[in-house]
Amino acid sequence: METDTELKLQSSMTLRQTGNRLWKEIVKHKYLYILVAPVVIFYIVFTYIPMYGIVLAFKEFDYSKGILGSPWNNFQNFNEVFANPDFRVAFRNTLLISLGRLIIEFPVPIVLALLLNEISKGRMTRIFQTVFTFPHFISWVVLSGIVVGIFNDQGLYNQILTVLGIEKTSVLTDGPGFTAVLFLSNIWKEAGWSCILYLAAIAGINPELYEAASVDGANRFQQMKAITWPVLKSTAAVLLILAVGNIMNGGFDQIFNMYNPAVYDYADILDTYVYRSAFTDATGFGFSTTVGLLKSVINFALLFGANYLVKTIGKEEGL
Amino acid sequence: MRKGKTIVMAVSLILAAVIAGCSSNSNEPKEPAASNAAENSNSGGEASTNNEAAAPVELSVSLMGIQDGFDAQGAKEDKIFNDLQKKFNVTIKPVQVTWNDWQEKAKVWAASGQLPDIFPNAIAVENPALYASWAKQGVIKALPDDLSKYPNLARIMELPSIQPLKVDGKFYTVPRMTYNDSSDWILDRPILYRKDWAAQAGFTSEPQSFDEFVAMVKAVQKQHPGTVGIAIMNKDYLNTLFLPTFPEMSNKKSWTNENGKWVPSFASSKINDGIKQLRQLYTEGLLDKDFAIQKEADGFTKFMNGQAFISLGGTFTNPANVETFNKANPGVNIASVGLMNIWPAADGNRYTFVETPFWSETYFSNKLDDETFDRALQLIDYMSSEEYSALAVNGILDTDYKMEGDKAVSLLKGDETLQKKYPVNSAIGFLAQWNGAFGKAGKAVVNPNPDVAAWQAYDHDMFVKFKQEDKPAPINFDIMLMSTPAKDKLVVNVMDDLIKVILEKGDPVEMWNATVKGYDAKGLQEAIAEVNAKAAELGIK
Repeated sequence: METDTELKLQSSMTLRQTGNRLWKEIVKHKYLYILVAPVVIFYIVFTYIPMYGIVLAFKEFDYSKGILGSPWNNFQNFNEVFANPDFRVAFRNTLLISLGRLIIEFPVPIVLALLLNEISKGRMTRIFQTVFTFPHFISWVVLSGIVVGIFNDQGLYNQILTVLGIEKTSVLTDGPGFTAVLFLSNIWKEAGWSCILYLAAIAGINPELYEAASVDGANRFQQMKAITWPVLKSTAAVLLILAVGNIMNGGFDQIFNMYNPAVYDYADILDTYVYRSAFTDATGFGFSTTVGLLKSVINFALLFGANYLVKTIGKEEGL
Repeated sequence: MRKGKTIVMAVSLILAAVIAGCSSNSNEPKEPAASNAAENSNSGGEASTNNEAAAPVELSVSLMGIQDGFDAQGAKEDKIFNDLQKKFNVTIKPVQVTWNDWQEKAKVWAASGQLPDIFPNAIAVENPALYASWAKQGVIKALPDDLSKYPNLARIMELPSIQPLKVDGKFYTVPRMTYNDSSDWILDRPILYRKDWAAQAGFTSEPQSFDEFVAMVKAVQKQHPGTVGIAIMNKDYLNTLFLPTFPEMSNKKSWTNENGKWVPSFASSKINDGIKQLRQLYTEGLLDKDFAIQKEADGFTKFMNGQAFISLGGTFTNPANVETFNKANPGVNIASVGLMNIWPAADGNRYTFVETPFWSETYFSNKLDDETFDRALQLIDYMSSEEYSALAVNGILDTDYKMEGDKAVSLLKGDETLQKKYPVNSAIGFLAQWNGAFGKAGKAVVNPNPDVAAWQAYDHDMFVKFKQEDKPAPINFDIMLMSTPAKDKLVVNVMDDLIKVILEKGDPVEMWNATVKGYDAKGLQEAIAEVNAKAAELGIK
């Protein structure tokens, strides 16, 4: 029978051996590690180190004492957040808008990639791809101005309605109308860019598969269904997991630039709410950190949940 | 193995350097700067004080657009600014903020211990909880009890409307005076309208009631289809239309006494008529349909471009605005624009907008040592004086303007402007005060542009007329500025909620009552209880 001391000695030796092995591996691949070092440092400095700021969710921020020196107030910030009706509205909106983005926006790049793949002339594919990708490079600041220009009282949309004899509407101050504009404008801006990944996956398909299918008499729809889609599925699965993990980020840039007080009930998401409460309202950093922390925890759980679902139900590769 | 160690050390060094680069400044008090302000000055230097013998001091100053002034052509030759630096033996280091980020940046700087030495902000009135926190937490510096060394500051800090800004018996800020009196804000909420359009529609005099006002706007819109009836400068200007029904509500921060109990004006039942009127103006297409989605000043731009009949807010004391108007409205003179005196309230009085005689405040970082703080106070004291107002508004006597009787007449030639001649001074001229009292006293130089000069004269005449004929909205500033824990913590976006009620379709009064009921969850009732208790204690009725 081994004594406790022998066991401890063994385990310490095993650890040392593992450490040595790891160090040898690092030395062996040192150039790869050097290559990756800037990115690792970037994440450590700008993502992991600032993470200590989440302790503010349990503190009352004191400007003179800083984050670590501020006094603890336990769960008071959480009580205030949950009691605040604006938080509840923002939470609901974030979920609804993000869900809408998953259901309405997520499939669009897949469909677009499939359609672009069906254009037989390569030149036309490139032209369409450029046209669809271009809006991605316009900032939301500019784009929101264009959207307001289209939908304001004297804008293109209302002028068309007037010509058709239909009464003018104020789409951007109407909750459901504004939500529709949110989805449509984001699709217009990002669908072309997002479909690049799918097009890359399609480009990797062996053309012989299509030739063989064609010889077997498969039409283009059948080829798409039997060859293209199965390849795209795993890419779509990974992107879906990432999208679910991102579900609590409703799209700050877009909404912040486009929304107005009339549609806060429909469009105020957690990020815009946190921004307003931290910088323009009189609430403190503790309050907004609490909202941010809650958001991150939910995102974290959803990411793992989606990964698990994709692995078990869809039999696709997870992350 | 040695190579491996080198790599590890290199990575550690990079990491340490990046972290050090990201860290905030030390918390040590600021020492006087080693550089000599006088060396940076190109001025001949008629200005001199005892400070020349003292050590030179560098002061970091944040102000909206300050860097633009320092970057402008001719900045180094700005005699007024150079004299100012020499007079106080200071070097001013600009810290840029813009009108879009000045509030956010101050909070971030405060959190990271990087506040500029002098920075204006609107905290004491608009965010009293934060003001009290910063004062108690040692973020901002308390003014000395004895201000006799700074006569202009001493005069300001003795004003009754400033007294509620004390935290534990001390002031931590210097208000940036707009005018000498709260009632001088009349034309800061102007109702600009096209007199020529009104006359064409058969209205040669100002409306005497809300119904007449509605009839006038409708008649003008009929003659000018496609134009906006009432445009607004920004959402707060909507409150101007409360003046005849509930004058207190023209200032959204105000409180009113209802049946012996102090309540925020927005929570008073006296607001109902005004809300109904705003809804009516919107649904009948008189109020700009886009007012809720447009950016700051878009409404006034519509007015300048001849696309709107009325603008709540705006001015033509700025030559650029006159130029825009003239270009967009060929053949129309600026004299076609009028300042409407709002129709009388039920008691027969016409009311005007009032505000604290200051807007925003100047703060000093608590890291300033005594010597630097003294110099900063001297600078702000001087910049609060009428002598400096004259320099900021008119330029240098007998160089940029001359006195003809009691009128200041410009000596600027051709396309010369004070902005071009003194770019830095133009950028920092409103650091300590807004120089409004100087203008309202009729001391501002007559603009060489005849259109602007005509507008200035008209604006001044109307100011005098409204001041004589109208009454200031009866706002109790002791209550409005009162600080209690629950009142300070009450965060409600009155204007955002009011806009929602105007735009929606249900009964506006019911909707507003439901909105106010919702404020209870944010601590409205606690705030009311605390304010009334404190008011009773202080004997405020």
